[in-house]
Amino acid sequence: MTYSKRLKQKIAEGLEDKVSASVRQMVTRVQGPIIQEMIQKFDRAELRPRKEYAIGHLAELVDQSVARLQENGFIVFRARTAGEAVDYILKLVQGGSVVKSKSNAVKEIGLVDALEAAGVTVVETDLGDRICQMGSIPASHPIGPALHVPVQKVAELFAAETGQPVPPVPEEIVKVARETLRQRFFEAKVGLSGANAICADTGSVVVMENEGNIRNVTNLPPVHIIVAGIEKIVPTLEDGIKVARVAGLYGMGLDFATYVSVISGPSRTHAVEGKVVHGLQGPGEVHIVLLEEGRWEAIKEGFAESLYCINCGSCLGRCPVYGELGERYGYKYFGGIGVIRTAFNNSLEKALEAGLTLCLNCRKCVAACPVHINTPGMIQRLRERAVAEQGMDWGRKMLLMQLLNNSSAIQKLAPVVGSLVCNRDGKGGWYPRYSLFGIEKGRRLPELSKKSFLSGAPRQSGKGEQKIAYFAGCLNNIVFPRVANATLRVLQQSDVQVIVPPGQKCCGYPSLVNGDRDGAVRNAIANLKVFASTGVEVIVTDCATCYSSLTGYPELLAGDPRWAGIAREFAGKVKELAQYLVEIGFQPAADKAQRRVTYHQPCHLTAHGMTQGRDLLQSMPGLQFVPSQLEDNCCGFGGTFNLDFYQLSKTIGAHKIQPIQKSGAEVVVTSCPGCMVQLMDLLGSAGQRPVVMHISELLTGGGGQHG
Amino acid sequence: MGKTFAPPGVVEEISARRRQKLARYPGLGEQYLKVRRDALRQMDALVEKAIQTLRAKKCQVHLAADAAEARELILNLVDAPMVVKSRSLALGEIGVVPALEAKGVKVVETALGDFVVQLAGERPAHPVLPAWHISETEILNVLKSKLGVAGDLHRALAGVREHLRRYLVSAAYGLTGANAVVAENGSLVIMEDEGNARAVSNLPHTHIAVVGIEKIVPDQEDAMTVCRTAAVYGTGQDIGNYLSIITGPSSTGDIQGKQVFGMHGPKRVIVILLDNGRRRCLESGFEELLYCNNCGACLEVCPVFKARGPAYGHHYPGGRGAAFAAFTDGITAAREAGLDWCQSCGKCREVCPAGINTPELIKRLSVIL
Ligand code: SF4
Ligand code: SF4
Ligand code: SF4
Repeated sequence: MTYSKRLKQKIAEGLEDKVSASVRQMVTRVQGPIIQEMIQKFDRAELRPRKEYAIGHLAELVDQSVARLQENGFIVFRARTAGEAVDYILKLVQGGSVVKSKSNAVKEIGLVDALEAAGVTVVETDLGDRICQMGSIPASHPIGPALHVPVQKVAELFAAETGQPVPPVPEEIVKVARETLRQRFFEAKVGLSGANAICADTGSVVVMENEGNIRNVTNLPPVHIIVAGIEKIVPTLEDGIKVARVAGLYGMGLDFATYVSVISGPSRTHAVEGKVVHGLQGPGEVHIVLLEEGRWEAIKEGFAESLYCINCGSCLGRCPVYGELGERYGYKYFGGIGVIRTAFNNSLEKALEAGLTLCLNCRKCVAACPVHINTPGMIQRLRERAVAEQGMDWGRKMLLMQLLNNSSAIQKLAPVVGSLVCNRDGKGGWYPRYSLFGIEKGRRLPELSKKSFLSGAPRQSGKGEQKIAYFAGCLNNIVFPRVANATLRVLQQSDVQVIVPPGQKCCGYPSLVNGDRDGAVRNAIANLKVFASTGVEVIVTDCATCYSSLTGYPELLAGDPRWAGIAREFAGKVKELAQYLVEIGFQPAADKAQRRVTYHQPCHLTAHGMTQGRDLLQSMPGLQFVPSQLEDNCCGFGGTFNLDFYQLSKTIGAHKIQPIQKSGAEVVVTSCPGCMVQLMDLLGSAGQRPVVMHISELLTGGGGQHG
Repeated sequence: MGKTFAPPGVVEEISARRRQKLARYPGLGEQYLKVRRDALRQMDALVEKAIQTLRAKKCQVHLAADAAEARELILNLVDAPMVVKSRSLALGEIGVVPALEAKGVKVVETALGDFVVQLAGERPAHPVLPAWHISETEILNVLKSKLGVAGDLHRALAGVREHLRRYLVSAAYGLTGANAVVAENGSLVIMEDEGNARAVSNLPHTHIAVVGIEKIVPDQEDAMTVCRTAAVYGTGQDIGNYLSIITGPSSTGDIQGKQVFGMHGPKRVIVILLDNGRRRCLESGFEELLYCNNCGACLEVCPVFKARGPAYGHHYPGGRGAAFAAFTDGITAAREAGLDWCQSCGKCREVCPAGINTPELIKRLSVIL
């Protein structure tokens, strides 16, 4: 099976698995606001610089840690690979039972399977993990793995374990679980844990939890084995405490987890003549396996940022793809960051299977991350590698190079060809009869305009001192010329001359997210040339995605001395439509129809902290603004994502649509033609309200439609 | 007792380790002093904040005005025939062990040094190393005669481990002190080397911690400074072997998202914040006495302590301990603790992380009392 077949299969399974999806979404719904509130109150924005320093000096910090850990009496093993780590531990653990606490590193190296294959009994001690283990139930959530298991079932599992009846009451079950697991702790020869941080200066290991099981795992058996990636190393004890604080805050919404333990060697005493003797109430032997697998490569190849991750799980709660697919998005580590780690801990092929192509680039994870890891940015770079290694398929190439290439022959032909291969619904919707360019047949697409916007746009319009330029973007150009025209009208109302430079290209975003960096660079340079000759001070775009892409040119061209400066100057002039209108003090005319309107905030504006679209609507006289919940949740469009993973995209979108419908609005307004395509598909297929409009259509009093 | 108060070599070994660690952390003493000063100068606010955050974390909190009140609280709480206990000078200060024993409750010391001292029927000689006046041979003899564990030190200690485990698993109450209370989060910070305090604070259903109000610090980082200092100046370690930062009772939400307490650790955490003369000490200009973190560094250099051992001091050993007794137990107690023995050599001040000027404080005390 190719990776893409396996991936498609995982997606299908994920979309089937409604139970765990509803648990994840419930946890996000309940926990999300609490976590947000706690972050507001307690976050100190202190971790990023510490992690930057730590990973930037990792080689010396590893050496220092090893020396200090050894000085403290730890037995340190540096494992270059997962296999070495497993072999080392298998030699240490000969039969008997092992009590274990949650650990990503233990999972990464596949230790539990290896131990069990060697005849060792491994007992999970976190209650949720233990429930899943006893019932052979797959986990539904990284923090609450057994949240989907009914209390009745949990009681049965413990009744089977103890041979005694257990009432289906959480309090009673906890009592029984405490007692049965206690015995396991005392019987076990080895305790197995991970680490949240390793402090190089004091040679200490930091672990955190709420139940107290880790304290027992690390204190009661005579031998304790810790497995931790070298990226867990931080310079000081205080840094280790910060990691624990931030992980509790972003992961669980706690200002501090119930138990944070700092362990600095085997149990010892100085009580007898001041001599050091090991193994009092705690373990007399502590091994720490420092796992290097893939970490040095990640640093060498420019992906050091991926190692800033503290596995708090905050990003997972916000990621729309993870919300639907759960642990199927990722491999040993989950979500977008998990995919990146897979590329280095395993292989690019594995990363593809883990979902390298699934990221929507919505940037929710970046906003949710305590260290602001640019996950989508790294994913994009890995896609470039994948394209370089494996090439791009023909259909995708056509789409990027031809259909989205303004004024190409194919683009001109597309409306004609499209109308031949699609059924129409008379409301501006097309239903393809065949699948082409990866577009599934039977789905609803907006009709391609017979004439593209740019082919007939006035080069210059409006009167005024100031000259501004308009960047249309390819969706407006070929699908929504009416939006582009409405935008022109809005701009003309504000006493400026509007120039529509001919020869402008697609912003390059579709190429970039598809791993075709060269294509994106080509388009960027073409656009820079076209706009440079206009001599304007402001370039307005009414597409949120184009805004994000155009303002990203300096980064895209940072390595090209010929264009980097020009790109910076260009990006400084780019304004999103609503942003521009608010800046010039635009007063929207009254909405004569007095419509009830709600707003969908595009991810690409949230990522830049821009909310002017919503502000404009709220200031529009006569209009009744009705907010919808989750206004800034992703619609699931994601550009070509929507072509590749239509069902997934639609499922993500469904969560978006519900609150929009609930708001009771007649019109849903947004600022991105991409989001419009998605909303129109989801709302329009069923002919449902509200109708979808671009903000400029609303501002010019337009009627809006589903097509 | 007529003994040397430390077996030969111990002091030298510890001070060599301490020198090495001090070179590693230059400025630690000043940093520590700053943390303490800043905290003491907002003590009332910190006490209030700590009470509020500890309660928010579902701890039961009591502010005990004096030793008797704290003691009574515990006596009324404990309804079991046996409790386990870890090393704490505050527990000694409130005299809870004899009081519990008088009530017929067996109190099991779980730190090796205290356990040995308890078995031998002696008094702790040092705040960190209570049995440092007892030699290895004597310890082995006591263990053999009282517990029946024989063999070399390792074998004997394995026997002690098993012996104590039996109590640790069956005790309903665990008694500890704490090195710091973190006001921001409502956390107790307990530092130790053996793992016994972890067991005492994790295995029983109820954990009772007694802490002097001067131990409250604003945040976790401050608590780390306090712990580092105690470790470096105490036994010459970078940090104690185990830090347990405990923020509320053990809980799980793994069954249907319902929060249930007492999963693997205690269901109930009771914190007794102890005043017992500390406010008065602060208010009457003896703030410096509250800088002490009981590291014991001063004892090694004090000529009086060398000669008289634990007789010099009261609940807390040495000159500083004698002076502090004036606030916890009154002037008579302070005099009995040897307030007048101080030779004003100032050696203690030189080694103290906070530079506490014990001879000067003692002089001032003698004048006003
Ligand atoms: S950018 Fe969006 S889709 Fe991609 S990993 Fe982040 S949250 Fe998930
Ligand atoms: S990438 Fe995700 S798990 Fe990692 S630190 Fe950021 S939010 Fe937490
Ligand atoms: S007075 Fe100073 S040296 Fe003596 S125990 Fe207290 S802090 Fe340590």
